[in-house]
Amino acid sequence: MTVPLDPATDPASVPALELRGLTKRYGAGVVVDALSVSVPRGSLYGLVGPNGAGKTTTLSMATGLLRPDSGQALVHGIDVWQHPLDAKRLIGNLADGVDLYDHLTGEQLIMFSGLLFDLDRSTIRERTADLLALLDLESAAGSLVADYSAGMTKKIALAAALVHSPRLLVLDEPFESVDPISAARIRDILDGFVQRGGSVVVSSHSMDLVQRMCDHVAIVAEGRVLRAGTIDDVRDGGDLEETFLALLGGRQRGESPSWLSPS
Amino acid sequence: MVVTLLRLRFRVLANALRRNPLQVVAVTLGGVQALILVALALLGLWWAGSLAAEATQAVVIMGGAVLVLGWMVVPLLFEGVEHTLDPLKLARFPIRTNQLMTAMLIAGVAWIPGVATLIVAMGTAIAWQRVPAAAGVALIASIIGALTCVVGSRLVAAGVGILLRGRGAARIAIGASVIVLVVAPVLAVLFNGSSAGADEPSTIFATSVAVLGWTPLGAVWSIAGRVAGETSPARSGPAWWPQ
Repeated sequence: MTVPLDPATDPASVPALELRGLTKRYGAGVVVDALSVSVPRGSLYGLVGPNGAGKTTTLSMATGLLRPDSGQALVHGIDVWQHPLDAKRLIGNLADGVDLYDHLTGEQLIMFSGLLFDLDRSTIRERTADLLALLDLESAAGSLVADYSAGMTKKIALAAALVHSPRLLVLDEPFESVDPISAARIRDILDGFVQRGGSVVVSSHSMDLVQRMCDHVAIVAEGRVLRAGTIDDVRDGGDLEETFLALLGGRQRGESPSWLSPS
Repeated sequence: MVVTLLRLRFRVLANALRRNPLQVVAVTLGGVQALILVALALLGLWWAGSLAAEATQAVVIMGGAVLVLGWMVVPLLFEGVEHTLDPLKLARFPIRTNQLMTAMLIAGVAWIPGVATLIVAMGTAIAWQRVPAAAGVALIASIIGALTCVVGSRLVAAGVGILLRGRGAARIAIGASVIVLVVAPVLAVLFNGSSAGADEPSTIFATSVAVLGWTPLGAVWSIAGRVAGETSPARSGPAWWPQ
């Protein structure tokens, strides 16, 4: 049920996601400043940066949730803001901070997501069962999402983002407040998705996680890309976190105030 | 797609009610309250139908305008806007704007306040029963009137929502300014006129009703009265009659 992509107009060299000069201003401040990133197909791409770097705003503009002031977002060559419906069919979106329908049960949430992507009922039923099993949520399928733990909520949101079999998964902070077991399960699913030819973009402020999980990374701060490429190129033999801190002007080694000495 | 969106809205509603029995009580009380209000409004319209045509027209326009205004202001004060079909929540799905708008419109009418509004709006036909043509027009206009209420409500909620993402005090301030902006001029005309004594207060009132009949708040409610004014040969209508 995915949109058939024509190899003639969508050769493998076309990136899964390409952002060209995306810009967003709020009042006088520039949140995202002419940001450009190219996510190759089949990559697991990490977007890292401190809080307030513009990661969520960037991903919202890349997936058709927030209109950019200028710039372009292309998903498999389709302009997200020129052809939003075609582009959205290719994207599985796990946005941070956008409420799910938490008064649906987990099962209903996946099924409605499928219906809203125009899938037929038998396909939806089959995929819902598969996804609930895959994410180890079968026992919670009949409970309201409002009663889920943080980890279960992320997992059901991921299931709802996968039901239409997207080509590109965009996950904003997928591991935020997720327990290690759920996090491991999510990572396995993302690995499997990439192995089958899908592409994944994740934002995170956990350098460690991105370094272990992703093959590409872009370091973003103040709405700009400071460095981007394969993990190995970016960290250049060192540690991603060290690279990151060096790029952001180094670690602040301030003197602690004198009262902060418990002994 | 519209059907799916409506199913989603009512599934969320049903689940919320099942989860919280207190809400069932609240909905039941709300329903009873709506029934009483509808009965009172219908009685009022029946009474208005026994008045002179211009008075009937004035009552219908004023009542209709208050209804539209209520739909615009009340949800702002009580956070009562229904969020299930919030465009932001549905932005990741490939839904056309017109599909979403249609679903929002139907969902807005198909619940207690919407049904009550529709019944009262259709009740304007009772007020115009002495002129069958006008009563027929009133029935058709009532649907447009009810939709005006829902659209107006959505319009204000969306506009305000974009301006201030859920800041309570500012929300009330906006609600209050809407009241002031719309109601104040009418009151000003009324009181100014009567205290100056230059004109008969009733003429001033009549003028403001006539003006209200041309605003978005009152226009739809004045249609049947205009038809009645056209078709009843005995009455050419006073000078202030909305032409």
